[in-house]
Amino acid sequence: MQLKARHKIAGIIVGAVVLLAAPYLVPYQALATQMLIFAIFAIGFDIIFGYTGLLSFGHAAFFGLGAYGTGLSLIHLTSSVPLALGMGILLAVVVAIPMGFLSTQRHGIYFAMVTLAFAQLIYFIAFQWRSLTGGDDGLQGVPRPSLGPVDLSSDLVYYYFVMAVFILALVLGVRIIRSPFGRALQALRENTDRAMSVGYDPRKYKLISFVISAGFAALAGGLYAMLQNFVPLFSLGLDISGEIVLMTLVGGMGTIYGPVIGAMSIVYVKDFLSSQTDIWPLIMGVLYVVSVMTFRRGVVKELKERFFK
Amino acid sequence: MDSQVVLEARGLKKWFGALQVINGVDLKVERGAIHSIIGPNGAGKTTLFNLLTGFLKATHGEIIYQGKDITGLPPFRIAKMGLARSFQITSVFPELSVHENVRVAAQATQKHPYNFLLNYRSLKQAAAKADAVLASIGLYEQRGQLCKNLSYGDRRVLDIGISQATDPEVVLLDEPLAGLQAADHERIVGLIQDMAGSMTVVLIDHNIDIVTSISHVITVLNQGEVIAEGSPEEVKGNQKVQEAYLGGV
Ligand SMILES: Nc1ncnc2c1ncn2[C@@H]1O[C@H](COP(=O)(O)OP(=O)(O)OP(=O)(O)O)[C@@H](O)[C@H]1O
Ligand SMILES: [Mg+2]
Repeated sequence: MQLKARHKIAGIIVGAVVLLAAPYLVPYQALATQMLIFAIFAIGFDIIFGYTGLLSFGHAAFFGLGAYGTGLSLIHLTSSVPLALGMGILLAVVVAIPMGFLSTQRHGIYFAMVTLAFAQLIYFIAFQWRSLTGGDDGLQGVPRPSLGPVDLSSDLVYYYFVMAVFILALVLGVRIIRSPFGRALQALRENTDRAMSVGYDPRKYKLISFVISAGFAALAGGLYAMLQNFVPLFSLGLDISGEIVLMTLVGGMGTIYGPVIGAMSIVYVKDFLSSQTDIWPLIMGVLYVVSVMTFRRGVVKELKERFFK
Repeated sequence: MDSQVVLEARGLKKWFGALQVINGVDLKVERGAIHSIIGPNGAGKTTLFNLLTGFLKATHGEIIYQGKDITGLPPFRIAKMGLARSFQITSVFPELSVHENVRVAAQATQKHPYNFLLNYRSLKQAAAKADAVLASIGLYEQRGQLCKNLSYGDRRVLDIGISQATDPEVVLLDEPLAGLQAADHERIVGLIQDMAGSMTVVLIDHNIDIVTSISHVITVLNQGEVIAEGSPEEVKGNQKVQEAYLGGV
């Protein structure tokens, strides 16, 4: 199943060219940035969904908390971009620990429901706490300060900054998956009882995986807040929670690269369709159904099977 | 004398709701033995294994392993203490490679503090252990295949291999011969005898001929109670055992 080295090198070259050229290939530069932001989110989501086998319907909570945490830090606390992103991640992790602790005691659909319930709770807190979050007006006026000598205010420069973060996130995600910890996650996903019978504590592994994926989501959220100079309330909402599931599924869960491609294509297609027609949500829905049915194991695995075997 | 006892159950009882499945079982397994547990279908053998390995919680009674009370500990804690098991229904990691199935089990015994940046391949000991186990169970050639593509018999053997990979002191095998053709029996029996050289084996099986030929001690369970225990000869000649088996037909 491993891609041959030749394919790997070709993949890296194509990937690098696409990443570098992306802002010029899409209708506007910020769209390319948004594609990468969701790709970062998808890397983390694949760790919990694809590799740990836990379907969370509440990951918008972490995307949104990252966005609010970073946004509020930039407004009130600091002009350091890494610090503000770190604060967003910290906020999400602090929430992910109890949320993961309680949800990973449940299985299957019950796990999904607990995550969903928590996410809705956080949504309503943000909605009610107007003085801090701006309620349904969103958090306005998130600055995008310079990163040391680098002025991030231009959309193009900001794209390349996000690209660098994306590459780091990708490397980190791949390394986590290839670590002994990542291998244990896959064993637990495949057969929890068997993994337990050789000495793995499922709750501990699931919780850590949950928290890691929350961290990636929050990093994406923080970058999103800086991209938009704004945190919309919907960043915590159900739509985002559902979309990240679809992005991961369409691309092919448990492959890291698949969800990255899934996330980038869906952000792109959605933007394109919404600029063309009012019925774009309907078309997106049909596209989801068709792609999940034709590429049952996700685009990446299907293509690998068909062309690289 | 009791230091020879590696695993012990005292007054073990298990109810599922109103159904009493284990009804006051006392069991002593001696170190280094092949100790078999036989009994008709539904006697409670698998339930007993599940209690001993922490997969089920006993309603009453104690479980002592290596002199420590392990009653109520979760399965992964018990596993870490060196008590391994296989499952009656083949239990493997289908989407992982054959090698990874065993390697990930061996990895569980190694120190790999949550260093997310360490490549799993650098845990050389776990990989070497997996190679050694695969060679000993005769699956080395198939090491690169996905587990789900193995034949039923090979998966059965792999299940035992996973149990061996953690270098346990005691291994509980739940009907390792289940569903296998007679031709495969020899392979598994050989494997069990190999394992017995370095660990205590507790074996559940229905094949009386095999059980009596390889066991040192046999415990007969019927309707949740121990009805006989002793050497193969003693058990074979036991009146109650014959009744239980005839009654079960
Ligand atoms: N989780 C459970 N809930 C309710 N009843 C159970 C449960 N597990 C087992 N039983 C019942 O307990 C009894 C003993 O089952 P067990 O699987 O321990 O028998 P066994 O001796 O292993 O039988 P076999 O030889 O068929 O494997 C059976 O009547 C079974 O239906
Ligand atoms: Mg059984």
